[in-house]
Amino acid sequence: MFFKPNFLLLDYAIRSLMRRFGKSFFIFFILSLLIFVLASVLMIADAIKLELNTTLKTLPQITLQRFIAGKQSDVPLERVEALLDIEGISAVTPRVWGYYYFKPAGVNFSIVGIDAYEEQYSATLSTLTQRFDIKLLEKENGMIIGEGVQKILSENYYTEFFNFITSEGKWQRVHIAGVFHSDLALESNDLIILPKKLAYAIFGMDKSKATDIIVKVANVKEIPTIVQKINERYPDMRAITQDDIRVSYQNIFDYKSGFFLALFSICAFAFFIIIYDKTSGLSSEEKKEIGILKAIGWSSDDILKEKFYESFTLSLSAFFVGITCSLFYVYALQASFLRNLFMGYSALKPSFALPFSVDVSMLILLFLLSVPIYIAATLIPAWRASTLDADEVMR
Amino acid sequence: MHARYTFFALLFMLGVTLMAQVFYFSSAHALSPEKITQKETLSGLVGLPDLALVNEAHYVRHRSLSGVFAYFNESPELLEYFPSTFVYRYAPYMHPSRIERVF
Repeated sequence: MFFKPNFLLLDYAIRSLMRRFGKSFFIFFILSLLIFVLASVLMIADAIKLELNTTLKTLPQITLQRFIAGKQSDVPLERVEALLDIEGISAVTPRVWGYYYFKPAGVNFSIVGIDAYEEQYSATLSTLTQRFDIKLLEKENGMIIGEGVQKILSENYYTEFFNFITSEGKWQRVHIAGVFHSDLALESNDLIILPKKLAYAIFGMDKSKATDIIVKVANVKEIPTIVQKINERYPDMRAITQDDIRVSYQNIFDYKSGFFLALFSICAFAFFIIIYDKTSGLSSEEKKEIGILKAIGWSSDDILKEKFYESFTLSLSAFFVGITCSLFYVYALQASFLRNLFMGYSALKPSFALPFSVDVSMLILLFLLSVPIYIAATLIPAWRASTLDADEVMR
Repeated sequence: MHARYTFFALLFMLGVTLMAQVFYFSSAHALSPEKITQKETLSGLVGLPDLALVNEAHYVRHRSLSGVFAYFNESPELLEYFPSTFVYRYAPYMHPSRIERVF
């Protein structure tokens, strides 16, 4: 048997909700608020996850680090040649990078050394930067910085150049040759890119060593085997594969949004218990209403249908209002407070626009967590009341 | 006037607002192919994982600089204080990843 909508009953249900406006509005408001908060958190997590996953495939397939006595240390460059002997490895690149602590602002910049600026680099870099001075780069003492770094440096009166303090206590003046586009803030906020020679000088590193080594593999299916081979040859090297990074990304967001989902379930169930409790002790007015309805010929079935319409209209509109508001809040207002949940506490907070991403399965989950449960919480007590005798209820 | 007409009208308006928002934001805030290429070029050039969202400690943004015991600091399950340092290590006999491999 199909469910036939009864519009007159719907009319009655809406009017009945309006008769108890204060109570209905309060429930509607709380339900919308719950859905709004959870949908916003899940949407922010989704947007950041999308951002991470777009760049995932360009990350190194295998990153190799050397550990001595449980601490990461530099890798000798001779290992680069030796690694190339392993079958299946197509390229091995040593990298020089690290952090530079800028004391006046108390922040860490990420410094990445690249091979001296060549033509191919300048073409790539000019597409990524908003202010780009090729002359400064050619002199090999220029750097390209992220927006956050630029902000911190200009607050400390470094607008044209910056004096790095090397490990020997000397000043190393490096000119600002470009600033990354603000669209790239999420990836480049704390970045400083400069020639490898300068990076070695600033870090005071031995030039025959590298921070870590990245390995390119011709066939991705061979990655686990190659990792095993590397581990056999160099037991002090740790390999981080692209897959490890993907899994860790997933964990970050499962953790943060899962935490909220757990909080939401507690709030939601507390809310539904209150609803259940409220409606099971029907007020004398409501009991009288059910009694009159039964006396004029309504069956329990009709009363249940009417209650269903009541709870369905209320919860469905609350769901839509919650989702609409959260879309507006996350993408138009850029989630002004909630986004801080996903950011750190340092002074280098990036200003970024969340990319649009709505997960349909997330919406379905939210719908199932709110609407059917609310309907059940109101229908069960109504069913109990509707089975009573008219004469008994009215007395 | 039937109450249901008002209700349907309100619901319809809500639906239209919702769809309009989805259409507007998906065109104004979506990652365009140019933006994606830009991001890919940068991360290909730099080669560092993670976003510049958190950088309180050395190991936070780039877990590649964390110590070897970092993820067994407290217990193998609850990993670090900052969620961004999480690395989930699967057992060698298990399926390599619980997330589908897309290369």
